[in-house]
Amino acid sequence: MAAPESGDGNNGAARMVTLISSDNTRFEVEAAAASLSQTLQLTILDGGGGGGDGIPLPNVDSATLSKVLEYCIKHAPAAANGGAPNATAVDRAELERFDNEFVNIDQSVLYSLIMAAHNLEIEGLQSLVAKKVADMIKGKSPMEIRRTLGFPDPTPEEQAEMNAHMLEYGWAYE
Amino acid sequence: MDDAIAEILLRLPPDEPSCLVRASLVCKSWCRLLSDPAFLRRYRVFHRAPPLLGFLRNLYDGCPLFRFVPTAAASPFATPALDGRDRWAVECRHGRALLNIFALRGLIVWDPVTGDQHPVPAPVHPHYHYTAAVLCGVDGVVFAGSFVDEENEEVITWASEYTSETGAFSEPSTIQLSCYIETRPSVLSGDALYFSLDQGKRILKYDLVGRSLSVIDAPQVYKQPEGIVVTSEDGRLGLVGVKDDSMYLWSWQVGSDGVSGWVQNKVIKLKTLLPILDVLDSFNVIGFAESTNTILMSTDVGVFTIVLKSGQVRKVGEQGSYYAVAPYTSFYTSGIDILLMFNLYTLCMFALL
Repeated sequence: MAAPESGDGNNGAARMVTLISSDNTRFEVEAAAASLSQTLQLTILDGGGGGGDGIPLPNVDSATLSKVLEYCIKHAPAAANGGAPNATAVDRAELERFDNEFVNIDQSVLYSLIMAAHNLEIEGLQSLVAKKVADMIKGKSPMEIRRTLGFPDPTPEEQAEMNAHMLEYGWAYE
Repeated sequence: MDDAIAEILLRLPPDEPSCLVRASLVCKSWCRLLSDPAFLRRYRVFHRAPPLLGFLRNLYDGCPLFRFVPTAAASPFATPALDGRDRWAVECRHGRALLNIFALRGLIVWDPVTGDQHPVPAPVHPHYHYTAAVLCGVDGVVFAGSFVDEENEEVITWASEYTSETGAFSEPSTIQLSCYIETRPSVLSGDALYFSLDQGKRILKYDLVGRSLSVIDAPQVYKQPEGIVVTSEDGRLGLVGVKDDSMYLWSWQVGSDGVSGWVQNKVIKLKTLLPILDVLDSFNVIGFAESTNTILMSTDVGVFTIVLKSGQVRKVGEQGSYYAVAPYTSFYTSGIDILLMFNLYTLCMFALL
């Protein structure tokens, strides 16, 4: 697998890039960490985000971006190792502990993270938050799931539509 | 947003099917997503993707024989135990291998994990070429073959299902084509099996529900041998072809106008994947493992596996002559058929409304 250029050969100071959140806060971060985002990786490989320029992220606010970068910085060394085949059990356990604590957060932050991880295409983070939300809705009734995720209660029209849909679906398999 | 929701629903536990049913009642868009066959296939793969352990390679050394070439570091099998003389591998699916036993003039379905073997007679329908497919959870084999109808001077391609329970072949479905079926492993996508025709220029679709045959033309851009049929990441019919220095991934999709066609999903520069290669003149896609979405490619310096999702590449075999190989993925548990469970639950819910 081709490793991003920023992942090796950086014996001296690591290359830094600047990311700009939707509320205009600038974050300076190692290119290797930001490259965990598939969306950013190409721009960074093309030399973007350095110097006075920054990469604007109009869909991610500063609170969410700071959280996203916390994840990226922690996971960047393992990712640069190509999924860390040489990682020790201790390293892996440490990452797992970090992950567990990382998603132990307020629901609103969690939902912003889902969208940010998705927009930035950070596979590990997408998977981590998706798993957390799946755990939260596991075992709940449809109405409880709606409330957990902050969906409004269904309108009578929506309820009727759902029933009709169920009917259609049920028939389709008879 | 739908993609993000799909990622969440994908992670609902498979050992509690009621979770999926409850989720399907949350709102219309979740219901649509959860009843989408592509999602359910992804779900099954996500929760039950047996690793690629190796592939069966057919050779001729005084007699036809096959060898098991391990691709996993820790293969559960002693390699020679899997080799066999006077037999060729037809294909493998979900932990079972289908072998052509020349001395018996028939086939066996063989589970290398348990050692179980079930004989299957050779097709009764006339054939010049034939191939066969073994299905998960079905105690039978689907045969597909071609023969020349001398009287009418035409090539007839047919498919017929053999069920070991009754020991009978189904009435063959036939289609008239000017080409022959290839003896390559098939691909299962949705409710259909896809076989290669005419060196990969065309694809034969066998609908398992309606037992009907139809033909899809492959994108006509590759030198021979043409691309091979695969399943794309979302479980649709796909095709992988090599041209010049790149590998092209296609999927068969329904357009906004309702007409199906090929959509090119990805182009991968082979140099980036296989930087050790200097000369880019001899690439052949020789196999595809459905459950792990892995391509097997033979080159001048050996055989490589390429995981389509991650681009992970590994050398797994020596250079040699390969036509088509049968990738073998292990089968851990019989598992539950999520789609079936889901349908049953939905019908129950429907009955309770």
